[in-house]
Amino acid sequence: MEITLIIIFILTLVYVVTTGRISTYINLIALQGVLLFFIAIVKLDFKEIHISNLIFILAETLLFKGVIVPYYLKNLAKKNKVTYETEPDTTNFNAILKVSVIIVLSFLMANKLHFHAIDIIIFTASISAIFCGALIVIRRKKVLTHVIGYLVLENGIFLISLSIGTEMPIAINLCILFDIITTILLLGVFVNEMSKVYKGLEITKLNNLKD
Amino acid sequence: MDALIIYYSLVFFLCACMYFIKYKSIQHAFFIPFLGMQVWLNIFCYQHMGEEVDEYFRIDRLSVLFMSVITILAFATIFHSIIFASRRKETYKMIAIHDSALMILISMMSGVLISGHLALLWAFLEATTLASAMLIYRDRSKKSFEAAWKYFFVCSIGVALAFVGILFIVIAGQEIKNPDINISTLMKFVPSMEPLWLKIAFIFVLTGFSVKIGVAPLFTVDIDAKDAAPLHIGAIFSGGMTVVGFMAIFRFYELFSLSPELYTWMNKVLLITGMLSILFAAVYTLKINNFKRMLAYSSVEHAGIILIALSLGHFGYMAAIIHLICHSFIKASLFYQFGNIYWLHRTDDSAFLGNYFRKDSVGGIIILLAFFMILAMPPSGLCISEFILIKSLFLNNDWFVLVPMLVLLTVMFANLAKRFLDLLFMPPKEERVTRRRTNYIEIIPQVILLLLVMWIGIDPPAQLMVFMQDAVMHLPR
Repeated sequence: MEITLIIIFILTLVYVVTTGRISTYINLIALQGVLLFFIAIVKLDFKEIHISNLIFILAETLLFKGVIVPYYLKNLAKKNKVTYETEPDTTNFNAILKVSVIIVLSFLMANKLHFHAIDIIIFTASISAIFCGALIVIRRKKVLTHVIGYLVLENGIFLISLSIGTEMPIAINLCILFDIITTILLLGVFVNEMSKVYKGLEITKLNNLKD
Repeated sequence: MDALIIYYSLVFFLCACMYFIKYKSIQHAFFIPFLGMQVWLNIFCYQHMGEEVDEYFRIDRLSVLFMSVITILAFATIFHSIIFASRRKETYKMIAIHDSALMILISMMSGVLISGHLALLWAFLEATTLASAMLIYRDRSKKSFEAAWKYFFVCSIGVALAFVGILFIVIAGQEIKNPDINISTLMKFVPSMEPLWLKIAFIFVLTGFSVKIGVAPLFTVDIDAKDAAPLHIGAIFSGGMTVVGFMAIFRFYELFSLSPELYTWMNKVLLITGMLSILFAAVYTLKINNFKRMLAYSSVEHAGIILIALSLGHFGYMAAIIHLICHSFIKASLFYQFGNIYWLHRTDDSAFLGNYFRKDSVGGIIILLAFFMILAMPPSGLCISEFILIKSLFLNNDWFVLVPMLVLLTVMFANLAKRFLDLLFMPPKEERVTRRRTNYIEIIPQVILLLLVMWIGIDPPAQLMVFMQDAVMHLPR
């Protein structure tokens, strides 16, 4: 069960790097939130973990990552009439190549670092998600896709804290709080403000600051 | 612990109250209790120095030393922020946002210095990012928005990467059944942890926090932030945030230095990072006309020097600390004085700036003095630290570091000298009528900061030197 979920998660990573349609991005982010919810259920030991912590984790994954953020992103995209990511710098083939290299390297790295304290498969998926998120931020040109890259990176970090397990609830809780606060600020304050100042949310318009 | 909780709740209470007051002078008056609390926190830390407050806070000599730097800069910055606000017409709401963000920034920077739990340290650093973004967006202009967005976005990614580093330490700790990550517990366990995990953790942490201290690879957003923010905010970024970023990296450094294998490896990494930063700073300044960016790149260069000094060990630790403190004071006073220059000319376009010495001789003397000091000329405290650094490199026969470093520093100095001397003595490309001379009250903080640096440079107080030596006593020689 756990392995199936992780494989679906990795497939969403491949898809999210290659796609160009904003609505697909948003759906994939929602799917990842739901997947994280199921991984957390399968992975966490319900006897050891405190009930309040458990509710906190579930609310974060299912409610926040799975529903609220995608809903807000959809509204934002509709309001600004953003449908397509324009001008990715390379073709889709290159993107698939890059993401495959990332996944293979993460797998090799996780195997090299293999210790009994962590779950190796989740660890592979999380490292891949961190690097895929970074790849999206580097490759894409819209503010919305940058935010999506950041959210993918955040999902990766959340997975690492899950792979550590229940012995360290402070790590998971802190990760969640950080995630919620920065996402709200990123989307609520900055992107909202930017959609008023710059039309179309193009990152290439942010070029006033030069040497 | 209770005292610290009271301090932070009072700060938040002050910030919340500020939004309900519609008189600007009363809003500014809120700074008085805040500064009082900051001084009290400093004294509290001095009294409890060397004690383990509890598992979350840890106060050592270095925290007290750097906290004093932050407190001095807080006084100067708040002084200039009030002058800045008096020069322009702003709504009380904007002032409330700015003043409360400044208070939160200073209190969070103090929090980084005294936190003894890696997760708490990380949380404080993230909080400084949030406050900084509000401060950079002060002007509500496109330029400041762009800088704030870039700073916030890249800082969030950097801090997220640093969090991955902390998670790696947790994983390494779980291998030996140590589920806690407060510094004093980790100190017992680090020698038995797997070095490979800790190496990866250090790389992630250094990359993530490089955005705070302002070194390669993530220094670029720092430059933009200092360019777009008001100058007194640039001063606290250059002076205070460098100290805070250094402290964050230093916490991990002192922790990992307990393992001999990691210690030599970390020094190499710090050396490479420092050299790269100096290289970038020297190359980028070749084509810059904007003084704010010039000062920001100079900060990158000095942060690089600090990391190189740290990597040398032994005398290098002292050099790093002296350099850090003196650089904070000099750079902050330069930023404050440039605020006055821009006000005098009513522009920050360097085409209109020139002949400053004739227009305002007192301000000119301050710029000239600070300029000589930032080049580490003798009355400056930087002279001592750079002398120790170069002597250590010389004695170690590190020619491959020493020669490129000196060449790059010379390039940097030449760039700075050309721009500064042009500003002081050459006529501008286009002359513009200036409003008035600098008010003498506006230069008091700069003079005090520069005198402090001179004091460290000419006759360093013996107690301070012993204090610094004791602060780095526990590190390997």
